[in-house]
Amino acid sequence: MMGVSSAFLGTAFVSYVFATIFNVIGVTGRKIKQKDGKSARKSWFTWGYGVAVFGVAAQAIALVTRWIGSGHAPVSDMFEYMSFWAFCIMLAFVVISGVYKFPVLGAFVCPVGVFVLAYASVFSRTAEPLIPALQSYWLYIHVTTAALGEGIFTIGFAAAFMYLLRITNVQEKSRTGKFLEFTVFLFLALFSYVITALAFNAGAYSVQDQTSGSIYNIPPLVGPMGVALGSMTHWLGMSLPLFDVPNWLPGAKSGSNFNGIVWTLIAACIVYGILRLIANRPLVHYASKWVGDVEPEMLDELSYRAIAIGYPIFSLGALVFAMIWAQEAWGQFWSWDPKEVWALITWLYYTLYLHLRLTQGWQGKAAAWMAVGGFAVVLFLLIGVNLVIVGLHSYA
Amino acid sequence: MSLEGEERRRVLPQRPITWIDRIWNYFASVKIAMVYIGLIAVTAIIGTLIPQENTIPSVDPATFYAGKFGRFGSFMFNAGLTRMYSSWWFLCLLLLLAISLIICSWERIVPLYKSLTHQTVKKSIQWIRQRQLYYGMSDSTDEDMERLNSSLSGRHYKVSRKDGALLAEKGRFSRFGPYIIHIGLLLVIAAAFSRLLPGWFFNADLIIDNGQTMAVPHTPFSIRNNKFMMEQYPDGRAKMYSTDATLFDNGKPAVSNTITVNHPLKYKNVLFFQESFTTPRFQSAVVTLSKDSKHSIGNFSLDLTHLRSTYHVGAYTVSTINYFPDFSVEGSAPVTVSPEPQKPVFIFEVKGPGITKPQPQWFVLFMPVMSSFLSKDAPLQFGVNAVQMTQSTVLRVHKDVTVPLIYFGALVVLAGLATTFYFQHRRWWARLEDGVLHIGCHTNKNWFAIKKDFEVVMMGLGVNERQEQGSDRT
Repeated sequence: MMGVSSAFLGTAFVSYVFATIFNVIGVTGRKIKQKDGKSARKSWFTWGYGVAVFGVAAQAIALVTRWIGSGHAPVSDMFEYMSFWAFCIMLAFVVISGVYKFPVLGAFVCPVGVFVLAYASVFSRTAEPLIPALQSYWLYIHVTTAALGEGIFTIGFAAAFMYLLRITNVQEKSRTGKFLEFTVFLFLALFSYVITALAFNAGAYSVQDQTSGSIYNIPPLVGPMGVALGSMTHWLGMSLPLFDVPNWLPGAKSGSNFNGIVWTLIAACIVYGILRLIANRPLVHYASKWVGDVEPEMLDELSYRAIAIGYPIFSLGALVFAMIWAQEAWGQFWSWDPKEVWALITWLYYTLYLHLRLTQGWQGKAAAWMAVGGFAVVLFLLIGVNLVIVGLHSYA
Repeated sequence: MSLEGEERRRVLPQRPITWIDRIWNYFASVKIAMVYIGLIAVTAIIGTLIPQENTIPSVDPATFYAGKFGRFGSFMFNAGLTRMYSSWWFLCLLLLLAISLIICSWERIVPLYKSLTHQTVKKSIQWIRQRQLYYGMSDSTDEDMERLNSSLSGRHYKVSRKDGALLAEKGRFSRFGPYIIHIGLLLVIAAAFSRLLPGWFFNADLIIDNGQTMAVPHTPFSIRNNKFMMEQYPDGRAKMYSTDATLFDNGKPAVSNTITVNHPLKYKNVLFFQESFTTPRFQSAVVTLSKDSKHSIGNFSLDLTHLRSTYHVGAYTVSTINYFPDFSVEGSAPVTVSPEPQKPVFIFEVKGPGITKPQPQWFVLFMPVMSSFLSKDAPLQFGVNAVQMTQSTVLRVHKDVTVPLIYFGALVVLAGLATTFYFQHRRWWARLEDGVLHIGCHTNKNWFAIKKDFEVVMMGLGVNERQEQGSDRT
C-alpha cells in the first residue's frame, strides 16, 4: 500500500510540474499560433488545468492508500502535513479557477504547489506510529480543515501577487518593484533549500554530533550549542562547524535548524545570483510579463474572494476544531502553545485584512500587500514555528 | 464600504458633550478596535518569542531569567513578559477589545436595521447610474419593467415596486453576519474571564503511585491509582498508557474506569485526564548475602519506600552508612541528583562472625554487577533478586464549567462567519423614465456573483452588450 501511495504521489508531483509548465507557456507564449491562425494560449491553459485536475486526483489516491497502509490519516508528521497542504493548494486552485474561469492563476499557483510538495519530500517519509495524543479523529478533522483554509489563503496570495505585478511598472525603479523582486528571491530561497536538502539526501549525507547526539543531513556550518569549532567533520577542506548556534535559540534541534536556514540563504543567493546574471535584469521583469493584460480589478476581487472563502474555514479548522481536540486530549482547550498562538495571530491578521478592506476601504495595492504578507504569516505558522520555536506541537 | 455605512450618521446629542460621550465615541471607532486587535497580535507574538514561565526548566523564574538573560531577563520577569497571557495588561487589552466590540456593534447594528427595513424604492436616476453595474435601456416600456420583475423573482429576489420604480434584493440577513460573529466572540471572551470566578475553574496535576489514593483539591473527591499500564513501540516511544482508577466521592467509591490519553474520566463536571507518567523507579528488591557463589548466607528484603538503618541476615547485621537514591558523580564525589530512587546506590557495613574490622561496602542496586566489582575483596558479597519497579501516573484534574459556553460562543462565531462570507446582500434598483429603463445593482461582497446575475438578466431582456460603472466598486 505504501508503495502504491508513493507511486501516486510521484505521479501527482509530475502532473503539478507539467501543469506549471503548460500554464507558464500559456501566459508567455502569446505568439504561438495554431494551424488556424488563432493563438494557442487557450489550449495550453486547458491542458494545464486538465493536468492539474489529474494531479489532484492522483494525490487523493496517494492520500487514501497511505491512510490504509499506515493505519492513520496522513496528516500527522511534517512530510504528510506539507504534502497535504500542497494538495489543498492545488485543490483550491482547481475549484476556484474552475468556478471563476481564471486560467492565468495557474502560472502562479501551480509553482507554489510544486515547491510545497517538493519541500515536503525533504522530511522523512516513513510513516511513524503515533504517540497517544495524536490518536484522535479530532486531530484529522482539525488538521485537514486548517490546511484547506491555508490552501485557499495561498490562492489569495497568488492573486494579490499577480495584482501587484500587473499594476506596477517594473521597468521603473520603485519601492513596490523592489519588494516584488524580494518576494521572487524568497520564492527562490524555498526552491534552493529543497534542492540542497534533496541533493545531500540523495548522497545519504549524515553527520552526528557526539555530545548532543543531533544528526545533520547537510554539512554542519552551524554546530549545536557548545560544540568545539571544527570538531564535527570536514567538508570541502573546511573543518566544520564554522560557528555554533547562539544560545538564545531554544530547542534541542536549534543547531541543525539554524544550519538549515544558513544553507538556505547561501543557496538562495547563489541561485538568485546566477539567474540574475543570466537575465541581466531584475527577475520580476519576467514574472510581470506573465500577468499580461488581465484586468487588475479582477485580480484584486479574486484575492479578496479567496480570503473571504478561506477565513471561515481557517477559523473552523485552526481554532475551533483545534480547541475541541485539545480539550479532548489534554483537558485544556487553549494552553497558549506557540503553534496555537500563531494560529490565533494568523487569524487576527486576516481579521485586520477584512476589517481594513470592508470598513476602511483598503483595496488594490494596500490590500494586495496585506494578502502577500498573510502568506508569510501562514508560512511562519506552518514552518517557522517548528524551526524556531518549540512547543506541544514539536512532534510535527 | 457598504451603502448604509456611508449613510451612517452619528446623531449628536442635544446637550453639551460629556466625558461619557467622549469615551463612547472613542470605543465606537473601528480604527480603535483594529488597534486593539493589532496590539493583541503583537503581544501574542512577543509571548511566543520569550520562553514563558510554564516552559522553563526551573521552579524559581526570578533567578532563572536573571541568570539567563541578565538585567533584561529581570525586566522581562518584572514586566510580566514571561507570563504574557495571564498578565494583567494582556487581560486588559482583551477587555478593551470586548468593550470596543460591544460599542462598535451597537453603534452600527441599530442604524443598519433601520435603514434596511425602511428602504426607498424610488431612487434618483443619478443615484442609480452610480451603482457598480448600470445599464440604461432605451425605447423601454412597462412591459420591459415587468420582464425585469419576473426575471429577478425567478432568481429568488424579493421585489418591491412603487410608481414606476423597482427594488429587488436578496440575502439581506448576511448584513447582520458581522454582528453575529461579534456576539459569539463576546461570549467566548466572557467565558474566558468567568474562569476567574471562584469554583468555576481549576487545574491541577496529581502524581499518584500504584495503589495510592490521593485527595483531589477543591473537591470532596479522592482518586486511587489501581494500576498504571504502558505499552511501547519497539523504538521506545510510548504507544499507549493508561491508568486504572477508582474515584471516591466523600470516601465512597463512585466510579471505576480506565483513563487513557484522549479518553478522560468524567465525574460531576470534573475531568481526569491521562497527562503523562514518571520515569520508572525502584520500589523494592530482595538482597542476598553470600560468601562466594556456592555459600549463600541468606537474604533480606529492601523496601525503598520504608528504609531501615539495619537489616539482619542470619548472624550478620547490615547497617546503612549512606544512601543515594539517584546516584551520580560530580567531580569525584558521589551525589544524588533527585530524591527519586531511579539509580539507587547504598553504602553498607556488614558485622558478624568472622569479620574483625567492618569496612564500608558499595551496593549498586541499579547495576548489581558494579557491587561485586567494587567490593570483590570484601568477605561477603551482595546479590539482587526479585527487583520491583514502579511508575506513577500523572493525572490532570480539570474543572471548567465554561467549556460549554466556549463551544456555544464558537458555534455562534461560525454561524456568523458563514452568514457573512457565504451569503451576500444583492440589490437592484430600476426606474422607467422617458422611455429609458435605468437598471443599477450593487452588492457589498461578491462582485463576481452579481456580475453573473447582471449578465444573465440583461441577456433575458435582450441586451447583449453590458455597460458597467466599474469605478465605484465599493
